[in-house]
Amino acid sequence: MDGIVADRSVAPTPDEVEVSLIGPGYGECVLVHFGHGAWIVVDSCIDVRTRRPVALDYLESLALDPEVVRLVVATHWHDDHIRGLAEVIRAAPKARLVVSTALRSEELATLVSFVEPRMMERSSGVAELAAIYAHLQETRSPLEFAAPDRRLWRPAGKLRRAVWSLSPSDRSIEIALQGIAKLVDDPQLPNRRVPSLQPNHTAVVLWCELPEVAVLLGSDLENTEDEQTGWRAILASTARPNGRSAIFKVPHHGSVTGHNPEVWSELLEADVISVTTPFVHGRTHLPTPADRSRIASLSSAAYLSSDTPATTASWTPPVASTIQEATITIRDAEPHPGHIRLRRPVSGGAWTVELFSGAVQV
Amino acid sequence: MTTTTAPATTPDSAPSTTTRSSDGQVAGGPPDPTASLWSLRNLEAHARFATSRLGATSWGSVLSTTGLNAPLQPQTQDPLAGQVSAPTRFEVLQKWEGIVLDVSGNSFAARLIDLIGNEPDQEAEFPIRELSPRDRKRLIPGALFYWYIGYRDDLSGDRDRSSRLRFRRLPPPSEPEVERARQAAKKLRSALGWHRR
Repeated sequence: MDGIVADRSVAPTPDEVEVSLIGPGYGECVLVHFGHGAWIVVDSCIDVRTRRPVALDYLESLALDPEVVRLVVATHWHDDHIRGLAEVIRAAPKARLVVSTALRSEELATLVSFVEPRMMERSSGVAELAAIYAHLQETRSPLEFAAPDRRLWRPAGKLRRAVWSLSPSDRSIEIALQGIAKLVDDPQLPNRRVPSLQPNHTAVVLWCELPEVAVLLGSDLENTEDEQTGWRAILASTARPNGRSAIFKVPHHGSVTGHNPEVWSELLEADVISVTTPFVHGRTHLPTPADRSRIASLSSAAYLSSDTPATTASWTPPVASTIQEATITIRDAEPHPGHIRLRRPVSGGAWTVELFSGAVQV
Repeated sequence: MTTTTAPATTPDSAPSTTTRSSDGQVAGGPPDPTASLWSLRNLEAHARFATSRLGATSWGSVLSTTGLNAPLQPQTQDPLAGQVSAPTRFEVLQKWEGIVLDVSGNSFAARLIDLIGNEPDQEAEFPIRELSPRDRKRLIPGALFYWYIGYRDDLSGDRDRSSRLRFRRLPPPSEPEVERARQAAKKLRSALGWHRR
């Protein structure tokens, strides 16, 4: 399972499954190939170099038409998970769109209606939501909602392949809607970006069922003391799919707030491979060194999609001088997106792990 | 050169400005009219003045890049009308949209989005002393601002290189605005067939 130098533009064969995690340091996107040309896309982020959604860039690099995408899931509406999602949906006409139930609430629609026209030029993921709503209206596309233990998709004629949602719970949705309603009443709302709701109860956790193997995508779901929310609600369920996962997209960028030891003992194989994306946002840097140690100790191998923020911006001399005078530090907000790619034959066998563009083993 | 009357600023509207002359000296002088949205109207008045009195033609492009065409303009009365100051001309070299990420001690971190070129988003840490006392009250995570770097020319012909932070200052949403948003949301949900929660 060692990382090897590989050609990123080689598409998987029809008999290969693939799990790709692409993340630049702020945002993430997961692509899963279920075999025979059927893909799903989970969340979206933008490549700072191309200004395009990484999923579309990657499929193009594999010489694949976005029509191969059968399912698009927006796990939650935080900016770092939905940027470019409207473009992905527009480019993938055969894909069904699944979102958290919170996205169809009157509270969130009110928030979008109020905030979107007032946003500054490029400051909000709310604009992305508005674009998604507009696309749905225009195309009359169906929209589906994730719920605990709901089978979202199954490739035609493939009984042993499916995508299940394990969250959000009803209680989580109720709490989130109360928080969203409060945002609409915030007198400072016109002057600030819509804040993320904390903790994140409404993220959609996905269970990808493949022949002989499962993949658990943890989104940003956090752990709570309440048995009816977060990871505890998933663990308490008696209706979730059976089995253990061989691949784990560690939730919430490896943060301890998304960690529940029982997830590792009850839902994951002992030799699970863990993958996650970093989150560099102001003074918050995830995963922390302690997070890295914990994840590495619980996994047979653990990988991070991107590690070191870089500075690539180029300014004219007077601008560069003034930046130096006016700031304490400055750097690129988003490094180029790194990419962790795992493949194995549908029939079984070891995973091949390939690391691109700054992805590292933890 | 004749003197004239133009809208001006008060200490309360002093911009969050770091100004250096082209030889690196920190400059004093009257504050510039960029501290608030209503002072953008003030800036516009300066522009009209500069264009009419000095034949300056670059104001149009400057104004078009300083947010005067922002989607919403406040409907408040300009409290500075009738005051006097020396007009200036500001040539924007670089402009970002900023979002405060966190505030700690004597500094704050912000994400910066390039609004002139196509450079990647930046994350910067600023000393809070860069802000005017008025803007410091608005320094909360999520607060939105513009950051300009440019040259400021005054009537005497002096040129300073200047850094200006200007926070967004819109009034709280009114009840009719919120109600309109609620109606738009209902219409949207109905169009999408989302009648249930």
